[in-house]
This record gives sequence, structure tokens and C-alpha cells, in this order.
Amino acid sequence: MKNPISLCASLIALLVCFSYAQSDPYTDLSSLESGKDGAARAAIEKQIREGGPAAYAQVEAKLLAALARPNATPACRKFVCDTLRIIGSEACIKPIIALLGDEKEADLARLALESLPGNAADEALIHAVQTSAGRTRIGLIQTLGARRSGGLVALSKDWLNSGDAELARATVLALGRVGGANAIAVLKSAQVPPPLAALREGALVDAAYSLAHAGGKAEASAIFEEQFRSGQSLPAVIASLNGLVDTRGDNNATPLLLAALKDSRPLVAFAAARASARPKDAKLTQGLVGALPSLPPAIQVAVLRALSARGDKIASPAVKASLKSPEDAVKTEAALALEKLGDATVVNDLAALAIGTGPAAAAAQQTLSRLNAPGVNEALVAMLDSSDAATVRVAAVTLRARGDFSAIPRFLQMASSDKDSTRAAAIEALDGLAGTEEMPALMALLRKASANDQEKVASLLWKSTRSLGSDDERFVKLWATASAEAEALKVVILKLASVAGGPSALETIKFASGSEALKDAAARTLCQWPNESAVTPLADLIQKTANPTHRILATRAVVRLLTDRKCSWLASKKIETLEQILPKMERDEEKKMINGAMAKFRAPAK
Amino acid sequence: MKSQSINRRKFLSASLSAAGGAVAFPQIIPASVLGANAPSNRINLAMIGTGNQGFQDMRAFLTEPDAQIVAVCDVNRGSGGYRNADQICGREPAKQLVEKTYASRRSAGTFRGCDAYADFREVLARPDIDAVVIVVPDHWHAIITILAARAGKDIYCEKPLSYTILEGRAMVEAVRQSGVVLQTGSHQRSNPRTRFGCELVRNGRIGQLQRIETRIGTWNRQGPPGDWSPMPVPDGFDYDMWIGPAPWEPYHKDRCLYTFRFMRDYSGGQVTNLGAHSFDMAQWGNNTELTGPIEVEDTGSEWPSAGLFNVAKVVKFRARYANGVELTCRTDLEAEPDRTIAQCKFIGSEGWIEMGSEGFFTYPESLKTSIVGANEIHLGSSTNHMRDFLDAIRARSEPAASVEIGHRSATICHIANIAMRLGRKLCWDPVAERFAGDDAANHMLTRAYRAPWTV
Repeated sequence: MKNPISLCASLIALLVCFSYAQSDPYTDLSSLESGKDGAARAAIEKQIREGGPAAYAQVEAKLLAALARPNATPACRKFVCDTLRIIGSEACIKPIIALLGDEKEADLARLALESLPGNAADEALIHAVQTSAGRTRIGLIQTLGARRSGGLVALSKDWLNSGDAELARATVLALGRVGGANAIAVLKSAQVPPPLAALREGALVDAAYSLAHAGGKAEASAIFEEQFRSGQSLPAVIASLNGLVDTRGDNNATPLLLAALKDSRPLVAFAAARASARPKDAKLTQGLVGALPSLPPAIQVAVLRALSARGDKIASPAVKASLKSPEDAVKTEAALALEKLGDATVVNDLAALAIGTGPAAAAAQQTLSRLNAPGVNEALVAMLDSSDAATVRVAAVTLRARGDFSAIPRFLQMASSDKDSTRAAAIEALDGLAGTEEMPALMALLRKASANDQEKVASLLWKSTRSLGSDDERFVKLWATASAEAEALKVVILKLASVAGGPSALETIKFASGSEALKDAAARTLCQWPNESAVTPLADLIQKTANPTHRILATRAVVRLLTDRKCSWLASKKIETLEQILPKMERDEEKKMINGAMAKFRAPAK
Repeated sequence: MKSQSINRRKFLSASLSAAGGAVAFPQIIPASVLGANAPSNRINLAMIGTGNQGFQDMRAFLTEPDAQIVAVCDVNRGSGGYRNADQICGREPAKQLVEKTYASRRSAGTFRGCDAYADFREVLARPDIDAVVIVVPDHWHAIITILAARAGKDIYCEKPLSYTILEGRAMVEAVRQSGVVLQTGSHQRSNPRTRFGCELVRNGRIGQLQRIETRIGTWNRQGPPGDWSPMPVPDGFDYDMWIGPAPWEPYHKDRCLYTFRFMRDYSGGQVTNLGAHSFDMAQWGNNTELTGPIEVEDTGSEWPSAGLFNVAKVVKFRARYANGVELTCRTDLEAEPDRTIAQCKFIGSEGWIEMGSEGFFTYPESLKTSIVGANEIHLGSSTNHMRDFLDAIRARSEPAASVEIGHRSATICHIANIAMRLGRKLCWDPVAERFAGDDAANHMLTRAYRAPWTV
């Protein structure tokens, strides 16, 4: 709910806007002030939105008329330029160029003109840049650079040699953006101040990229080559390396990259490794594989990543060999690369690595889970026969992660094993794999499960029902299948009712009849209930039970559910319920708990 | 998941002796390679922007054992008034937090070694800094990112990656050319739930994908209503630097800090703030993360009629992909005003999957326990966005939310804003990255920077 002040303000704004919609929002546009008359601006924007391109010329004319008035404020000029940036035409060039006389307004003028296509705008800007100075000139140079205006090149020599560092800097950057042979020639021959030398190298590379993009790949490649061989600025050298890879053609990039991998400058070697992911040449893969063992470990990591990206399986043996590296980072990267490059022959090595701990083990486990090649599942199933418990576990959890449903019978068999570790691995693997088809087998497993395993198998059984509808429906169906089972089994299954937490499950609990063990399980399950629907039956239990443990557990459950922030009951109803059960409390602990909750419910809301 | 531990000092000592000494490699060699002043394994980081989100990112990086924050930078020396009046941020509080955190891990109990700067260019000039974390208002992202790339720094840049589409493309090119690593702050790429949901969509678990419905939160702050008056710039706040490449406007407290996102000069409203997450999820699940829609249309956006804030008040648009999938977005007007909702629902012929800030939901419910098998599509493995960035720095590889991915997700925000502002259907060419036959829309692909700022 909005507050009255905010509502009032909105109403006033709406009225003002409405009045502008009715009247002419351009009338007072010239005298616009920052923070005032926002409604006029909004009304003009609405006209543009609703009128579409057909209205633009008329809006433009009105904006220019406002701009031409002698009292036009900076706020008016900003709004007009910002709007003409979108709807402006050649008609706005002359009046907007006139704003270039003032340094601050020159920025606004460029807002309108920079995106305006066509030679007329270029010519006007070129003319203006020659007659401007200071920040205005720098801004215009930027705009001409952004427009990739070739006319800038002829003017730029003087600026580069002017001794004005800021002017030279802007010119270098703009020439880089303009690109083309002429801009490159100027950049090459320019005597820029030493602090701008690196910038000039970067601009040359930018210009070469533009040249390549425009079809001049061979010329661009020559510039990249020169810059790569003799450049002093490392970022420009690296950019040139990338440019060479892009422009030389896949086959010609191979020797360059292999040599660069061994460059004494580590960043160049890293860049070469990264760029090696791109060319398609099969010889590059061979070269990378050959170079791999002799490279420093950090570069090996980057090359392994590149080999993975290349996806060329001839690299598989070399990557597999890297699993034995003494460097954990290399092992990790090799394990990850095998997701794309490996086959069934890497399973044993990966499993051996996965048994350990740390990043390499996690990487090996992930790759085993995702390795998509013939024979991988079979290799993992064979590992289930291993006498090593850790190997069996890795194989089992991997088959689960791979979604290999064909392994389910084997896991069910293993789940009956006398060996604790085998049973545990099988139960872990069945979690999520077993479905409704496995319910009878899981029920059978539950019948003979040890006390230690009962809860885990019951959880498996519950998860196997996941496709049977809502949680409540799932429990009802599961309970029905358990009807003929022994009481002890029913006790285990009944406890799943609180996981379901629905109304039918609650009814089952409320009316559970049979042995004392079953009734006890029902009471304890009710005390675990996840939502407020159990509060009333719990209160009843507290009133009627003769079992002090049930009373204590039920009391704690009532307080837990009523103090839960999700509980929708009114405070008065909560207090009433607690007042009713309070006399039944025998211990101070529960009395204190109830009184504390009631005090909380009685306290005014903050 | 990986935490690699190559001893950089050992590696570099070998590399440098081969090169004949370190002097041949001037300013640009990062400490992560040279192991300069930091322990050999650490990546030296600088935080550029230490506001609300900057503090969140900084706290996350402070937990990474192989990264060290050696510098913080912000135009604000320190003040309250960020996400709420009491939240104190800025460079001095940031420096204090960094030094206090590192001090608590040392037996001496003290630490001095994090420098505070007001100008990011001083940070980029430091040769010992390997990577920068850019958490500034959107209108600054491109300039700092491109200058950082040209300085050879690896980059973590918050979403939305760009302020305009053209500068987003320039960022992609700068990052590619200079071979640096850029992680976009689209953290859902490192959320296992989101990835799992997108894998289910990609693997056909909801049948044929037909529609993607996204929903975002409302304005979670209100600006000064109606008329407002400029204010004096507070002491310790470099307002000219804050405005930077944007058009000059007089200072008002609600223009800066947390609420910058509600003014078009600096951001694109909740479309870019929250939509950047929703659309990124949409792109991921739809397998369009390296391209984009081909059509975008305003379907009833609402705009403020006055006041300082001027981005869309109610967002409503529809876009269509070349694969026939429709993407819609709307402001969730029923949600609590302060909720930062960024939700994405994939609707297929046989079910649906919804994910995002409000939770993870599926129909049928059993999809939640589905197993993505070995012969199916897997979408990476990052579970920690900052960790993934640091790992990508070490492996010189693409991180979970690469620059192209970040640019393409931001592009949807921008073309949607353009379509809503112009109030009509636009045809978008995701290859040429231009609108077909619409000059006004194309004019909005870029914006002139206030001099002397440029990319």
C-alpha cells in the first residue's frame, strides 16, 4: 500500500502529464531546468513512442525550435540532443554543430551526431574538428574515430606531433578505430611521446584488425607479424599473436603457435596455449602433444585445456600420461580434458585417481561420470568385482551418476551382500536410480535389512516412488503395498509419512492401529510432522496419551510448528492451543517452553 | 571445484633464467606469473568499485586462499547511503575490511598491504596486479574493462556487461585480442541448480521447448517524486569521475550509489539489473548463449511521467528466437516491492522447469531427481563463480560466463529497452548485431562518451 504522500505525488504527476498531453509540451521546453518539468519530457517521449517514425520529423523540428530560442537552458539542450540521438536526421546537423562552441555543450552535440549516419554529418564534424580546440577537439576526434571516419587521417599528423599529450593520445586511439591502410601508415610513421609508445602499438594492432575485417587479411597479417616480432608492448604483442592466428590460416598458424609456446615471456606462452584451441590443423594437435612434457607445469595446464577444446582424440594417450604428473594442477586438468578426449581405456586410471581426495580426485570423478564412449559402463561394472572397497564405491557411484539403469539388478544383488562396504556402495548407487519397477525388490531388501540399514533402504524405497504423483499420493500407494507386510516392516514404512507430510498421510498416522510398536511409531512420526496440519492431532495426543515420552515429544512439536514463520494460524488461536495443553505439562522445561512461546505470540508485532 | 597449486615462483624462476632475467619484461608481467611481492601461488586482485555489490564480491574473493586483494578503488572515500541509509561503503571502509580480514589470519594479528585509490587508472598501471574486479555503475563497465584488457589484466566484470551493444562488442574484441580472461558476474552460471535445470531443458526432459517466461522485480527504490533540486556534492566524493563518460548532470544523491540503475544515462533499469540474470538463464537453457533473438516487441511497458528516475517502470516485452522459441518478460507487480526477483520458466511440450531467485520448480515434480546421464549434454561444472574465475586465470581458459556470453545476455536487455522505448516491434540480426530497417533503433546501439573518455 502506497503512503498518502506518495499517492498525492503520483496524482500530481499524472495531472501534470495529462495537462501536457492536452497542451503543447514544447512551449516551455527552452526554459527547462534540471529536476523540473519532467512531465514535459515524459510527454514528448510518449509522443515518440506512440507516433512512431511518422512523427519523428515533426518532433525534431519542434525540438530544434526550442533549442534555437536564446533562453534555451543546459537542461533543454541536453534533452534535445539526447532525443535527437534517436530520432535526429540531417536536418539537425547545422543547429547541433553550433553547440560545439562551448566545451560542456560539445559533449551534448556529439550525443546527437555520433550515431547519425551519412557523409553530411562526417563533413560537418571534420570541419568542426579543425576549428575547435582543447577538450572539444578531443571529443570530436573520439567521435570521428567511433564513426570510423577516413577524413580524420589526413588531419591527424599535426596532432600526433603537436606535443599535446592528450591530443596525441586521442588521435592515436581514434586512428586505431578508423583502421585501414592510411591510418596504419600514419600510426607507423608518427613520432609519439614515449609514454604513448605502447598505446600506438595497441592502436596499430586495432587498425590491423579493422583491415583484416574489411578483407585485407594479408596486409593485416604483415602488420601483426612485425608487431609480434619486434613489439615492445606485451599486450600488443599478444594481440598480434592472436591476429596472426586469425589471419594466417589454420596450417600456417601451427609453427607460430608451437614456437610461441616456448617463448621466454610466460604471458606469450600462455597466450599461445590459449590460442591453440582455435586452428583446426591436425598437425597442431600433434605438435602440442609432442611439446607437452617439456613445458613448464603452468603452461601444461593451459595446453591441456586447449587440447580439450580442440577435441582431437589423438591427444588422448598424452593426456592420459599427464594423469601421472607430480603436479596436482596438471593431473586435475588432464582428468578434466579426458571428458572429451578419453575412452574406455582411461577408466582404470581415472578411477584410481578418483579414489583419492582433493581437486584431481574430484575432476577424475566428474570425468568418469560424463565420459561418453563405448565400453565405459562395462569397465565400471567390471570394477564392482574388485576386492578393494574404495574401487567398488567409485564404480558404483559413477554408474549411478552416469544414469546406468542396467546396473540396477547388480546393485540390488550387492545390497544383500554380507560385506558392509559393498552393501553401503550399492545402497548409495541405488539412490536415485531405483524406480517403481524396483519397489518389490526394495521391499524384499527392507524385509531382511539390518537395523543399521533399515532407514537407508526405506529412504530408497520412498525415492523409488517419485513418479507416482504428489508426495501424499506416493505415501498412500506405498502404505497400501505394505498392508500385507509384517508389523515391523510397517513401522519402518509408517515413519515415511512425515516425509510426505500431506493430509492422507496424516490420516494414516492418526488412525494407525495394531501393535504397540506401530502406535509408538505413529506418535513419533506425528511429532516429526513438517507443517501446521499436525498441531491439532498433536494437541489431542498430549491430552489423551498416558505415555510421558509421547507427551514431551508432542509438546515440543507443537511449539516448533506454531513458532515456525510459515505457520498461518492467528496468534490468538496459537495461544488458545498452548493454554489448553499447558495444564498437562509435568516438567518445568516444557512449561517454560510453552510460556515462552505464548509470550512471543502476545508481544505486539514489530 | 578445482584448486590448482602450481608453484608459480618455481615455474617462473625456470622461465626467467631461460629468458636471461626479468628486466626484459616490463610493467605488464603479472605477479601471478612473477610471484613478485606476493606469495608465489597468489593471484593479486584489485577491487574497482566498492559499493554494495563491490563489498559482496570482495567478501567472496577474501575467502579464496590463492587470491590476495592488494588494492581497492572507488570515487567515494566512504559514506553511508548505499543499498540503505546505514550501509557504509567506499574505498576506505573497503581497505579496512581487507586489512582486518587478512590480519585475522596472521599470527601477528596485523596486516598492512591494501592500497586505496580514487582513480582506476592508477590501479591499472600497477604491474603487480594480475586481475581486476569491476563493480562500478554500468556506464563505466566498458571503458575500465577495455583499458584493463589492454593492460593485460584478467577481469571479473559485474553484469550487465555493457551499457550499449556496440561497447559490448568492443569489450568482446578487446578481451579476445589481448588474450585475457573475463568472467561476467552472472553468478547463476555457477549455480548447480540452474545448470541442472538448463541441462534438463537441453536434454529434452520437458519435450520440445516452446516458450520462456521471465519475470523481474519492480523498482525497489523510489526517487525524488516530481520536481527535485540539485544538491551539493558531498566531501570525499569525486562526482566528475563518477559521471565519467555519461552526459553531465547536476548532482543529486539519488543519482549515484545504489539507485544509479534507475536512470537511463547510467543503466537500463530492472531490465538490465535483474533481466541480465533471467535472460542469461533463458539463453543457457535455449542453447542460444552465443547468439540472440531475431525479433523483439514492446507489449505494454509503462514509463514514469516525471521525476529523476526515467527507466521503464513496468517492463513488458516479447522476443522470438530463430528456433521458434518465444521469450517474454514482465515486471512481477504482485511481488513484494523490495524483492529482487529474477526468474526464468522454460515451458515445453511435456512439462516445465522454473528457476531463479524464487526457487526451483518443475512439472512433473519427478524431474527434480532426474539424472543427466553420461551420453547427455552437460553444461560445465562451476559451483563457485569466483573460484571458477581464478581457475580460468590459471588455466588461461574460458570461465563459466565468458565475455561473449555476458555480452549476448546484456544485448537482450538492451534490445528490449530499445523496443520498449520506441514502442514497436523490431527485427534484430544477432550476427550483424543491428536492427533491420530501423534507423532510430540503430542510433541507440551506441552513445557518445563525454570527453575525454573513450574506448
